[in-house]
Amino acid sequence: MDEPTGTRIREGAAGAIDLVDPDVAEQTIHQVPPAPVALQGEAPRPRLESWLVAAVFGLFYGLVGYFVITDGRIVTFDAVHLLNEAYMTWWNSPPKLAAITLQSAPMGSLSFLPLALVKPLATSLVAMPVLTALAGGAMMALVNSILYRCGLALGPRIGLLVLFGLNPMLVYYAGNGEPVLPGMACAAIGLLSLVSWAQTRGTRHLTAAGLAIAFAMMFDYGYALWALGFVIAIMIVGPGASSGNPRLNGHGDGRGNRGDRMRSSLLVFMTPIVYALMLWILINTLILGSPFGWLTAQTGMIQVNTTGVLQAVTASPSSALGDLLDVVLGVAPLALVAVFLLILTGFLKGDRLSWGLFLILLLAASVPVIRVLVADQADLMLLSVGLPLALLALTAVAWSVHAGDGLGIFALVAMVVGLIATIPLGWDAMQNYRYQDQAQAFTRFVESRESQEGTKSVGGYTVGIDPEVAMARHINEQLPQVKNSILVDENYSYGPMLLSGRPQIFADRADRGESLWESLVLDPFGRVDYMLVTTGRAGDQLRKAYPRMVAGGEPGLTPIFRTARYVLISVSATRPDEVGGSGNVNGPTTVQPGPQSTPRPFTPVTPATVDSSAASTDSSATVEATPTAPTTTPAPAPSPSPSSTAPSGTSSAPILEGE
Amino acid sequence: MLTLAVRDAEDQVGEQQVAAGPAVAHLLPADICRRHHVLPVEFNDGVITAVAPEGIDPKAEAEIREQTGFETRWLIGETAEIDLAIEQLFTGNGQAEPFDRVEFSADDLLKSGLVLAPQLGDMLASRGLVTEEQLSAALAEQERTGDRVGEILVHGGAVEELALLRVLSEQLDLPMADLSKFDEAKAPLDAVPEAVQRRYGCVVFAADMETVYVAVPNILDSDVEAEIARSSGRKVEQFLAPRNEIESLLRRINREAYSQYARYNLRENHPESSAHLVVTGGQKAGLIAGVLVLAAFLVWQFTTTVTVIFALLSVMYALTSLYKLMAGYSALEHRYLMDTSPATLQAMDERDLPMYTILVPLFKEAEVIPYLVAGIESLDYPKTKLDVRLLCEEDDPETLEAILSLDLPPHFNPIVVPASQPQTKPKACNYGLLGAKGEYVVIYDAEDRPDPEQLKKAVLMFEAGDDSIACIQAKLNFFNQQTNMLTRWFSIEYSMLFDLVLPGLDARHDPIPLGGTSNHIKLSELVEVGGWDPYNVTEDADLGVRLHQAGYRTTMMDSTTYEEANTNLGSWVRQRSRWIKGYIQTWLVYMRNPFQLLSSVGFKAFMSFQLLIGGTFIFLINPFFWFLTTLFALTQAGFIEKLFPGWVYYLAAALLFLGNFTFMYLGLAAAARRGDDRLVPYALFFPFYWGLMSIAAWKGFSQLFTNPFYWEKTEHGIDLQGGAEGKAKPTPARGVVG
Repeated sequence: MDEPTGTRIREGAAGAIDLVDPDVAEQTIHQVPPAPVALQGEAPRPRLESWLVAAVFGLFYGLVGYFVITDGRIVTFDAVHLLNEAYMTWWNSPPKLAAITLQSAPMGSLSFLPLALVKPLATSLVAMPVLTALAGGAMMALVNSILYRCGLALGPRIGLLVLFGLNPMLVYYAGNGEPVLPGMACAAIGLLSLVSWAQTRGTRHLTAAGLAIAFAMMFDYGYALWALGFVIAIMIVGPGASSGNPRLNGHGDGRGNRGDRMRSSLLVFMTPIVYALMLWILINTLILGSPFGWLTAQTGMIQVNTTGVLQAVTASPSSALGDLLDVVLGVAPLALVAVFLLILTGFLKGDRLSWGLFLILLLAASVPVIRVLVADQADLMLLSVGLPLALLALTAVAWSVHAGDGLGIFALVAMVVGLIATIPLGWDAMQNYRYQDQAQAFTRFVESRESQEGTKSVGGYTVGIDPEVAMARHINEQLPQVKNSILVDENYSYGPMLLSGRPQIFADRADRGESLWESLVLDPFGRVDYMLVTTGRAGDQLRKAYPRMVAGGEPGLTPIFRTARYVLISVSATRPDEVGGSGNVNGPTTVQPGPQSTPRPFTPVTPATVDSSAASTDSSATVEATPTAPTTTPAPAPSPSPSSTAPSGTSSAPILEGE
Repeated sequence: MLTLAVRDAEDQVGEQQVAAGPAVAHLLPADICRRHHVLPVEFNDGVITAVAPEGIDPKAEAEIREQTGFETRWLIGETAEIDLAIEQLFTGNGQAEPFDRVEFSADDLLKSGLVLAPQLGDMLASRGLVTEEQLSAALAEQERTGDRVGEILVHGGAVEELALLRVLSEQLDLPMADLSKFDEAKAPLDAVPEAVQRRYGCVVFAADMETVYVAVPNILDSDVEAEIARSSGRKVEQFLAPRNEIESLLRRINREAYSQYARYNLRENHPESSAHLVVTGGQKAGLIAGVLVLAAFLVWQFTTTVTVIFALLSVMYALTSLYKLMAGYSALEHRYLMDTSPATLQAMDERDLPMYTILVPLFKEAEVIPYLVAGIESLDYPKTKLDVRLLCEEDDPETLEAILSLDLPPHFNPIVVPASQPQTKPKACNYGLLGAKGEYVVIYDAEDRPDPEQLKKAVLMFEAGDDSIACIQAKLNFFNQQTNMLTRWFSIEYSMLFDLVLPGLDARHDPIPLGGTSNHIKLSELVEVGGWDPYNVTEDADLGVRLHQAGYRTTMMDSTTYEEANTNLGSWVRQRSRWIKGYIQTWLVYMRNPFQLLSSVGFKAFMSFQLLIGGTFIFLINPFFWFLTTLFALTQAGFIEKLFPGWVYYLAAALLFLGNFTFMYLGLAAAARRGDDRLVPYALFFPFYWGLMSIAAWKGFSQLFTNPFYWEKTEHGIDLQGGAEGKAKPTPARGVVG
């Protein structure tokens, strides 16, 4: 066929690619990266169900916690301390974030901040059950989601939730204001996210897991080992198939191979955790000059309602492991079942997450052991350390039900049996296990519905809050409300401070820094009107400076009101030696610098050195309702202060139920 | 002989019986008859009478004209009867019976007075213009897309448009016109209104007292011809000419008017939305008054005033950060308007796809043209339904030359934008919009590599969404992510913006500031809101707000266009300074009357505008805070402590420690979510990138005073191979011309 003049025949078919220069096509079209990684299909979440679970359990825990405090008079002083820090942050004069201590995990106090904004909520202590009940409700909703993720139907799920939620230790801690439950809620997010990620490889699950464990770590440093477990689990499970196009590696595409995917997965998870740690180290370095001091301060807050006598018990690896076994058998016997099931599904089914969860469980269990051994303090193996293990064990067994295929029914039965067994075993442990925080009193209250005020509980505790209430009431009603007029060591006198509702009248470290406070301790005369000291514990810096003042033996420092745990001292307007006469026979001792006087310190108290007057005070659980008669000079009239607050200001505190 | 009960399609009364016979029926191939339920029953005087269920069927009519060259008169019949008749008159499954097996003779044809029209494809083949394979491929494509065989062959590059026109000229007995060198000064300006010519894609190049001479790409419908005749008051004589030459002549004739439109349309019709004034008189007065009051307060109460300013800035920081965080969170739950999975796209009937206009503004980008062609050609969309407008600047002959040298098929339409100020991308786009044939419009940059399915996805979404959806924004990212640290950060930033923040805004139904390219817009709505603002150097962001203000919604699409990231720091700073300048321009435009903005978009969108567009000012302020933080860390200066009392300090500290981390982590998570694993570690160093942004911000801000409409052109073509082999080689263009 002849080609007509003026026309050309083009080669090839009419397809589009013919129009493109082959070189360009090779360089360009094939270099267009593939579509972004498609979001994996997500199972629909049981939203309404989760809200209902959270509401029901939250309400239940809140009510129990409320009556435990108001009717049972069982108050955990760790929580009071944390709540007081949060309260001071808003209402101290001046309000400062510095009220929150640096050496204990800060989220315990920070999580109280929203509630502490509402004065009556904090000063009535209702914030304590509210916070942990909210956390408990949220945690139960998350547990429900974990069970859902593991394929458990609604019926079994609800049954398992009820059994788990009725663990008596869980019920107690979900209402007592301790940061255990908020930390567990974060851990539950982490576990749910890990399980979800293992199923879908969705990046957002790793994001959630990383953030959640970082927060959990700021509730309890022990979760750092959980984070390590998560890292290993992620590495074992693997990041899934590489989503990138191998032809594009090294070219324009940002996608990499499996190794890159693994690295990015780990970075997504670890970044919040590492950031939180680095930030915490930086803050500790800048403010305390001790970047890692928080690592060794593992003994928690100072509880003034206990003698702390058990802190003297040293630890050995075998005793720590024995105690751990006691705790696990009491609070989390399911963990033993979980270990068995995880090994089984790991071996028989080749399930990688089972091995990951197994390692997390081992690391989580080692947390309290390491803590006990590092501090050489056996009483750190508290019964409450079993609670996170119980959560982890439940997740692990639920995963075994999911991954175990034929073993599923067996795992389910084991889970039911384990959870049922937890209730009586936990109850027994609460009544008998030696390292605990008033759990025994809780069981007594549940059985008898009677106030536990003044009773003893395992661990050297004197249960109740009346001494604090009485002191706070006296301060509010009998003393002029002058700003910074009552010198306190707020690490010990936090109870009356909080219950008075007026942190501004107390002169504490957070007001204007450590050094000014120390100078006040050295020379309070004419600078403060009163001192408030504890009698139950030996660490109170004011008592250390003036050992005889509780008994009225310090010139110029006159006890004017006393409760079972506190003495209010009137401070003379002038130094006793300037007045002349008696001289300063028992003059103030120097407040020693060093670890015991660092800003916002945690003061190690080892072993308890309760002096005779303190012991006698502690032995009396009753409140002295009338002021103690001055034993030396009359109480000086409070010196007027330019920064005085309204003397008859209304108090938002502390009207406890039944008061 | 079969009979069918029919009515006339025009008056629709008077049912009659018509006979249907094989001779007339076989005027059309069986597949066309079956597809359209159309049966020819009569041929008389160059007009085919056909029966169809709905009567007039424009698609069928066009196809009949393509096949036979004849006009159609329509009768209405029952579908079942028509289909039965088709089945009886044709045999086989969808294939026309070979002509030599039809049971009627040439005598029958002669007796009936029929003259079988030659098939266009056969004519092209018989002249050696196409091979049998090309023809087969074109017929297969016709089956899929419903387009004309001739068009398919031309757009596919198998036949030159001129060659096709020659054959059509012969077939339709129409003369041809060569407009390429036609002197536009000789064309009659007012014989037919320009709008009519533009609407029908024709141009009147000559006229006398009785006749207007109209260049057309294909024979006009009788209705169109009648309208032109009516508007001119003269009879119409048609000449065939290439469609791009027709439009080019129309543009040359109306050069000044088009240029004016591109520059002043928005300014004249929507002056309140035009950025031709950087600040209005009222704004100037307000700013001066504000500065004076501030100065007075500084003199009177320095510390307190500075503290209040810091407090306000901290609140602004916090709100902006929280808003972006909320948007990012909303994105986690975000679902696109509809599923555009491969299966859904596969199920699309390409015959129903509309014309799609692609605007590609170009300036000094000759080297990129082969890549541009490759990108456009990779789109999975019938080429016959593409209207690709390559917008070249008049003072950039190299780019135009590079386009012309490729001898591209007619869906690539090179358009020369007359030189005028402001010389901006939006002005070029406005200019290119005139004569756009698409139902939808999208902008691509020269170096863009769009997702091949992007146009189809957009069509699906437009059709699935309600009428309020006027714009669909695709995601943007970079193909040269790994070239250097800058491109990595840039990619992470885009991942955060297009994969988290904008989908989040979409989920919240907040106004979306459009990205620079890959925004698909309904043409009619775009024209309604005034097109792009040629004075705004971020015309895309401005258009997003304006569409929202007009009551339209912009939504996001799960489709990515890959662009070329700036590899050079200087070039990056220039580009970013323009963006920030444009955002400030946009903020100033809409803050001329904040109450009007509030009432037109509502409180939620108003706040979104303030936090997203107004939040740009943060980049200006960042250096001050960084300086103060560093100074305090080094010196513990007491005066700094005084400026941050109580809660201001808490807020500032939270922003410092948590806000910065949040944004860094969002970037990291966004990159990981996209699967850009090799980028993830670089997100950890993202704060350094913010420092660069502040440098660019100050450059852009200062330019707002000195050169507000200056377009800092982004350099393209530096790294077209994604950093793999250095600079791209200019590729010799040979693919099109064979």
